[in-house]
Amino acid sequence: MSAARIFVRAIVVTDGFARHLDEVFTGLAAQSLAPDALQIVVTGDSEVHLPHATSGEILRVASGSTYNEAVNAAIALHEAVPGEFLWLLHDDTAALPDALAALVTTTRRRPRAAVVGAVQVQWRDSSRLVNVGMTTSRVGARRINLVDDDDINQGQYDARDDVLAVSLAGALVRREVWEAFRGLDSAYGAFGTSLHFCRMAWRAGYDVVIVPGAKIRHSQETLHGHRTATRGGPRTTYAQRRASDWYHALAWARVWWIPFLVLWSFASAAARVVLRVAQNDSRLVWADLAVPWIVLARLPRLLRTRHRIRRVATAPRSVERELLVTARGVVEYARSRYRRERERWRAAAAPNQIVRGELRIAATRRRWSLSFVSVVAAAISVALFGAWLPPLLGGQMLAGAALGVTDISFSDLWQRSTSGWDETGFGAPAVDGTFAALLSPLAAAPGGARVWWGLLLAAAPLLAALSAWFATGAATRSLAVRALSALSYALWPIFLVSVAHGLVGAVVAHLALPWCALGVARAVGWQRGERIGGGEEYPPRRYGSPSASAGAGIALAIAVAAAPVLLVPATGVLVALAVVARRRWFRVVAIAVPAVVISAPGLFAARGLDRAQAWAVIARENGPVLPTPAAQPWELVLGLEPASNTDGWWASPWIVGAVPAVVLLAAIIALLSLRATPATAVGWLAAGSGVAIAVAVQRTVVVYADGSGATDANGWPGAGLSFALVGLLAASSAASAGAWGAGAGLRRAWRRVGAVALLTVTTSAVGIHVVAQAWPGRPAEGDVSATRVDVLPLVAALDQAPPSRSRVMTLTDADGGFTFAISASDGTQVLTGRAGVDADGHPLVRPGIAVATPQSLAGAVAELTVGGGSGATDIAAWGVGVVVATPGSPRAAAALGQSTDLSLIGASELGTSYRILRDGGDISRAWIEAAPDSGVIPLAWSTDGVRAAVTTDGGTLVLAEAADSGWAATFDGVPLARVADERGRVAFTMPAGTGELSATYDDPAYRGWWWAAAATLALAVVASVPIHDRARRGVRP
Amino acid sequence: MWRALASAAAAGGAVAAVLWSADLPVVAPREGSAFTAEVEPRLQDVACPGPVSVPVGDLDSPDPVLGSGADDRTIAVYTRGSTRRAGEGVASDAAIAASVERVGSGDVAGLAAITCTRALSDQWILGGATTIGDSARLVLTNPAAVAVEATVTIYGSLGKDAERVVAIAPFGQGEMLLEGVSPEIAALAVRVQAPGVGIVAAIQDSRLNGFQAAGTDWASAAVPAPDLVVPDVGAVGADSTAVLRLLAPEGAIVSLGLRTPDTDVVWEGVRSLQLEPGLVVDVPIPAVDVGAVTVSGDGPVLASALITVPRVSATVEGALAADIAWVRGQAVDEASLAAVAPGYTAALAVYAPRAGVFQLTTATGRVLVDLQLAADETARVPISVPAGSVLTGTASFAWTLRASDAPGFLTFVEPGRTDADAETVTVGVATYVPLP
Repeated sequence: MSAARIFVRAIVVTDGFARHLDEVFTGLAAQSLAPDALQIVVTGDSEVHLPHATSGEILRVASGSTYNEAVNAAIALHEAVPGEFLWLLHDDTAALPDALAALVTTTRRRPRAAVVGAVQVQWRDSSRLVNVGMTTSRVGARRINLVDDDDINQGQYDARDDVLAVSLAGALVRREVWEAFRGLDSAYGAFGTSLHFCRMAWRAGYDVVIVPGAKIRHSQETLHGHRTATRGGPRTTYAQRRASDWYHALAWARVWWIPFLVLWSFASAAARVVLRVAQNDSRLVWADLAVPWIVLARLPRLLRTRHRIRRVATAPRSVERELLVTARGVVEYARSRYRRERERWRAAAAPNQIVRGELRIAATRRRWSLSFVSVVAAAISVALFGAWLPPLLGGQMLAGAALGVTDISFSDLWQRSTSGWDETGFGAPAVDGTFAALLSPLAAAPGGARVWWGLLLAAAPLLAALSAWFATGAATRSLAVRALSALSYALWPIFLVSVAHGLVGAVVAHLALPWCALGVARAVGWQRGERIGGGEEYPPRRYGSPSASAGAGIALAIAVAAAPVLLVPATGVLVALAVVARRRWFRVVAIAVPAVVISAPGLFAARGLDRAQAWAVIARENGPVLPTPAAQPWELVLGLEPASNTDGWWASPWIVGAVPAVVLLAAIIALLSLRATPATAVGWLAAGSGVAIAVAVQRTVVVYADGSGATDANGWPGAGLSFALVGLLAASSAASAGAWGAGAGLRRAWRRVGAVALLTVTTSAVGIHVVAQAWPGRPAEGDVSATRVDVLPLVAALDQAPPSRSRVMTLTDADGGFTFAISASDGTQVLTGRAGVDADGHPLVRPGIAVATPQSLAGAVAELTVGGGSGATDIAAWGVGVVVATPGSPRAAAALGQSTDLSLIGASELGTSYRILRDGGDISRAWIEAAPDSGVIPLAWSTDGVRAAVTTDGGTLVLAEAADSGWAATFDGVPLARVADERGRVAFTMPAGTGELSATYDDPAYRGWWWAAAATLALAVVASVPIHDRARRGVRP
Repeated sequence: MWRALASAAAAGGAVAAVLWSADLPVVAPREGSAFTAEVEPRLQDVACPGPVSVPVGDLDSPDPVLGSGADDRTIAVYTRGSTRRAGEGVASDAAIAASVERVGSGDVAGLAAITCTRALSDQWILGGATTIGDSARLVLTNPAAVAVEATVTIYGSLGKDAERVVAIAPFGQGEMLLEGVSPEIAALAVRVQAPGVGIVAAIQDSRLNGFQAAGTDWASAAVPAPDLVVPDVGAVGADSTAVLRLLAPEGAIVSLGLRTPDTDVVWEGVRSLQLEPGLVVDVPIPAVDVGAVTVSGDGPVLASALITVPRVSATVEGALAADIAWVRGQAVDEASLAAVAPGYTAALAVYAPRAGVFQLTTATGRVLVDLQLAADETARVPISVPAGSVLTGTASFAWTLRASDAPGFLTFVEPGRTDADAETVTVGVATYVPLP
């Protein structure tokens, strides 16, 4: 207790434009204890009028002066009085009447206090606290408020006295301390000065005290950015505040920590950027990215700041230690902030009791309907494809003529996707690896692609029904409409045909499109709320969610990866939707971005070609294809074409076309009803474009013969028809929303009769179709069936494994001769995707350049089988080590058995295997030959090429892959020169010596596109995480 | 109103898009084109069935009447290349080879010779009988390194009688006693089908008349053709008989002709013989000294002639023994044939379908026989060359080598091709996904 007289000099700094300035003066005038001196510093030329009761000195300083400069100018005019305290006020701080008295009382009691701060309360509501002291973490890079945001003052902080820092706004600061510290440090800008000042005070041996009884109303103009023109709220000042926090850490940490902290600021910025993308907060993304650079910009001033600290610091660091917050405290602080915001959000969004009851009833009914739909769809799945399930779970795989084999390892798929070299035949450069990437995630799960893609195909009707259920839930909440739409979607005739034939692309597109539609609706906020009594909806107003837009983008990317042609109608429909969405157009257009990036390699490959060929590239099929005869649009829509290959009452047009006809009828009625016009109009546009695309695709050759066994095939109309179906169902379900209760009197009665009739017709159509599909006597539609995993005899499959990785030729009897296939895998793999060739057989990414294909070995095979000539040499030159005569081909087995260039390895139920004899070593995928067709040194083949240590006398390095400019070889780091090989293989001249040999394929353009697509998808995945949208609720970040 | 307009515009746009797409031209996928090549096929090994065996086992007894075996057996396999065993038979990589065997006494006394041929995947043998006293032993020789599964179908005068499947190991032999499968068939024909590398088939026809040998010979395989010539049906001695055996696998109407130098021989009732599919018919041939039988039908037919030469038995007084010889009908084409000289008393029998010069040359190029023949003319010329020489005849003639020996043994060594036609093979590239 000191009896010394405290002299209070109040200083108000203003630029004259502050809106609350009058209240500041009123507050000053109303103080129970008036300040001994009052100075008003005006920066700039504006006029400031003091109210009547206050008398003070008005001082002008240059416009643009900082607070520090203003205060220094003010106190420079007057000599220091012993016991003088500066009461620092801003033009947005209005003290409550007894504030100064409380401050002065505490100041008298605490002689060592350098800063005595007041509690800040909200401007409009003084019961809500804004600032009751601040502290920071041990690292110093996070400013921690010692009070929760908007906490109500119930006296819980009245016992607080010593804190690390108080806000200098409204605080009493000892003048000699101010002058010793030379005021505020200008390096901090507008934020963080109080923390720094108070911490210096502690280190200088003084105390910093908070007085809970003194309250200052603070409207935080600077924080909320009101002083700048943008008026954007706390987010506009976020970058400056974070940069100040980091600067504080740099200033107060030990010297050797500084470089580490700078790096940490960059790392922290990167992590925060991911968080901001997940929160869909694009402005803060840029702010977080800018923070480290602002810190770097302030680094030159760090030296002076630290020098100042060192100059005044007399007390050791232990003084402040118990006032700093530990790491656990920081975590606790962040968690409690998050929890508080969630509670606040939930409380704001919580419905009242009655609504909650109705929602519960609606939820129960909804779950029952969903169960019913799931059961029916699961029954369809089991009835149609249940025969696949026991063999799949028993270790077999699905295989079909179009599907190929499905036992593909994750590493094979990943290798195909990332490297850009397709292994079919003799290899070819690929356009894109999206199809293999699409299959990779399920292949990585335990069990592999065989189990999970087989299960996905078997359960495809069930998954389609679920997708459609959730998607139509955005258009209407009527359970009957949702159930019927879901079952129609699952029973779409061409979809079931796609599954039966194993056309994975069409199936995945069919499953992914409803999720995209759901995402579109939720992105803009078009989704319907749950119906509650009185025709109302809950929630009454729906907001769009940017996470849904990202999710829709991912779904569309999946659909486009599965069926590239969908990019065309999807972008058209999204543009139409963007027009309808008006202000939220950006969210709708952004949905197309991942799909466009994924399709970019194909678009680039198409850009140099003429129209017909470019269309064939855009409509290309990366996965299994099934040629079908071209059909009329109405036949395609009604599911009559592609026709079923079975006979029976279930294949009659009336039965097959029942569901599509009813869907069309519902969509026509929806259009004529003029309800929900934007949705029905866009739905019909989507339907029209989908059907047009389906017809156009079926009339185009999308897969050309590539010399490796694929023949020309026209496109499968399934993807376009799925797109059309999504449009039709969207139109009909959107128009049906609220139709039951709309209108009044006779019109409503007739409308209800019509609705019931339509529902009955639809239900019967769906029911008939369910019965037709599940009919016990109905034979299987396509040719996909479960078969054993081993396709080739074991000895052949062992040759295909590393290190030799040689190829296997299979020989089968055919009319008038034989057919042969060359593969590096166990059976022909179609699911790894196609390389993409044009009509002349040239790869799309190398226009005009022919690559060698197995077709060139036809003459050698004829020689080998019939002629007994030198065919085996040509075949072995391409790395084929084993020839297998397939089971049921006695002529092939006999022909191979008589050849002197082959030696019989063994016969099994998978075929008879013969090894091609070659002097000088086993046959492998790569070797070094000293002279053509003489002694060779086989090389081990790792996953993507040759990486081995070799000792050689020189010669030619030959890789049994089709020659392409993307192959490069180095020997001890020195690139090897390419050599033209008359067979069309990759060959390099090999110098003599010992060293590390490496030969790999690299296509920089492919790699660039792959990384671009991967980054876009990763961003989309992070952005689709539905963290609650804080910005909308005004929570300070 | 705007809503109606928007809906109408959307519907109109959709319908327009669909109608536009319906008018798009159809680009049809091209058919896959397979690679077709003419390839000279690799020549397989030729194979011979080995020595004749006594049907139903050897009864070794010193009694000349009861004993079935014989001590004076001479078998010679004439070939220019290397040989290896194939079961009891011989396989050789030469272009042509022959096996000639003489058994002096016993149940299988006689001369039996057969040209070693290449494996065929579908062949017919007209020869043998399974009536009482007659044994037909089908010998299947596999000269390849692959196992073969052969389907044997037995035909008789009532059509198809039985079918069996035999598996033969690589470089192995399989045999089947046809009288155990289809007994009491007088006119026997056998079809052997072996997919893949094929099989070499021959029937050992051994007949027994009580205790007397009634002849042994090999009947070799042929493929059906519409026009055939049986080159030599000439008699040996006064009592020898000749029977023509005919079979049309799919039915045919055939005309038979007997060409002899003596124009007075008339053959009745053979102008248009209706052959039912699969029925084997035996037609007796008038006895001539030198003659050839021409068979021409409107479908593929097979023909063989059986010549029986009786003799007085050496062991039992007053009993008659005999030897038989089978000569196969040939389709006359442009390929030049070669045969191996059998030794013994050899003669060339030739039939000229068109006028021309027929020359028989040895391997060194020496012209052994030079004949100017008119159309439809037959001739028989004795030849003497060391046994085992390969003799090549002019193309487009039907000829055979007859070997005879005392006391009435007869057999034929029939010519075969030493090369093969170029084969057309179609090779296509395909995928390999085996489905159950």
